[in-house]
Amino acid sequence: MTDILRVRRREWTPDIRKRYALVAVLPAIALLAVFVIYPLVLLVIESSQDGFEVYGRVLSSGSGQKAIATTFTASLVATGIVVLVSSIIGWTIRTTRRRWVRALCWVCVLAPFWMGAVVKNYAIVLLISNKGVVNAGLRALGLDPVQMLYSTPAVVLGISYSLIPFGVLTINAVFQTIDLNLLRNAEVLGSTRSGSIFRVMVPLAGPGFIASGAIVFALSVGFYVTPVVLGGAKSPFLATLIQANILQYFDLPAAAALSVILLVVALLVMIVTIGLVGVGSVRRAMTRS
Amino acid sequence: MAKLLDIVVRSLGRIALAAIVIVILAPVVVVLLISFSDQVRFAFPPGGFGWRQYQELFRDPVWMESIGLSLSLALPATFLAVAVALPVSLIAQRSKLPGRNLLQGTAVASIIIPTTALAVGLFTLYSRLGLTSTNLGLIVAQAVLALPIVLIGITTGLSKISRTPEFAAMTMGASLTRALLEITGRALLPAIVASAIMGFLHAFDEVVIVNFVGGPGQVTLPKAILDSVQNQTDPVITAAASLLMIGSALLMAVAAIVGRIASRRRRG
Repeated sequence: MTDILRVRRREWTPDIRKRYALVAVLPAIALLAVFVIYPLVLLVIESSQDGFEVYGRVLSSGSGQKAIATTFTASLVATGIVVLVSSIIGWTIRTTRRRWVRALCWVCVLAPFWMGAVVKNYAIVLLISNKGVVNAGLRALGLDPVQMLYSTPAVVLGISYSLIPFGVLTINAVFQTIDLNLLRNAEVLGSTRSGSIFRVMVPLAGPGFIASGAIVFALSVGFYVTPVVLGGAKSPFLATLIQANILQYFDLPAAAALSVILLVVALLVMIVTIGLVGVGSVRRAMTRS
Repeated sequence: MAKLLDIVVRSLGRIALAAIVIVILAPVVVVLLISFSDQVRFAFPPGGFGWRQYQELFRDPVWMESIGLSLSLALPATFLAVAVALPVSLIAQRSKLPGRNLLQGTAVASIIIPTTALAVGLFTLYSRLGLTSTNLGLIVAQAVLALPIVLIGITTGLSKISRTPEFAAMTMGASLTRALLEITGRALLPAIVASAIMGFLHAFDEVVIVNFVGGPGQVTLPKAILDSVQNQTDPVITAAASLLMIGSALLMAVAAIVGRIASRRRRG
């Protein structure tokens, strides 16, 4: 009798059993651990072999300081541009009644995606190089050509151009949650159209702007192609300095130290943002839903 | 006064929008325009029009090889990314495994790791493992980059699928595996296809890691374009760029249509 009672009956559950679940996610754990987390740990190990001597060397060198200052300033300016432009496009998509305007806005969001990372920058080279389209236009008007390529503003333009689609998608996710009736109510109560945007929409979407801006900033500091192509091989950006350290000077510790600085800044920005607007806003911006 | 300000702000907004549209579309138009020019060296405005750039592109074995290499890396990378992402998404929503959300969150959050930093990290790792200049190393790296994109797509798709039909199948005697495969799996298929396409485009477009860990023989299409952009502005690039652009646009349209079919099926 007791033997029958002792038979363990597993309770029925609609969920996948834990042990199968664990087996199923093992490849993902392995991939992330070996090819994402471990490489980043290696960066820290590689850069701190002689204590923090490498960091001192990198941070005290003129090129290192200039690269850090330029990279973070350019990323900050680009983030501002992206959030502003994306809000204008996103809000137009959300509110316009004209279908062709909405379609045109979506084309603007998708066009940089279609081009891919390298082609985008190449197209900008064609536009702003000394023999490019803009200077051809200036010459046709009888004006002197302007040197635009291989400058920090060119890199800012390239980063902004690349991240506007991302900005629109993240900000759009926030705009979708805003009840347009609130703005109509504000107008009924005497607010102007632009007044309702600044006093109703902007405060409501505020956390979304911050979350979107943080992700855009974190992505923009890691840009590699844009500083190299639009800033030139000697542009004062972290990406170009890292490239030079690896491919020209074979100074892996310095490249690793600069990469750790990039990583830490990106992570700090995300942590501060989560602290400011909560993990929900950041998750919504990241998954765009 | 407030009215006047409103009119000024609104006109400024419209002018800004028009300027934004022009600036965003200008590069696309210029690339397409130059790709149909007959010039040997880049010049603007182009002198005449023709198919020269496309003929040169298809005549040059270097470009053809780079397209072949890109496909042979991006396709397995996409497959790997989907094979790894799908269980993560499924386990996060269909099991009580401790740490399931942490795993999914980590995989999604890996999108914000600065690519340059990850490239240097992988360069260090691959030097130790002897994976530099290998196709395997590049496939895995591209899969890692595509993983968050694929995972976001599949997770969003799965979260929109009701569990009720799954439960119904199980009350009628289907095993959990069968219910997951035949009910939820079928409903999820469009989302999987759409995310795979987006992941493929991301992997195909990858150039930073190739630049650091790829060997001299590993010139993918984006790498070939990057190399020739840095050396000179050969107008043949515009033909490669235009084809890349049209190909991505078509694939994205397919992904969007597949996604729409999925949502229609859910409603109907």
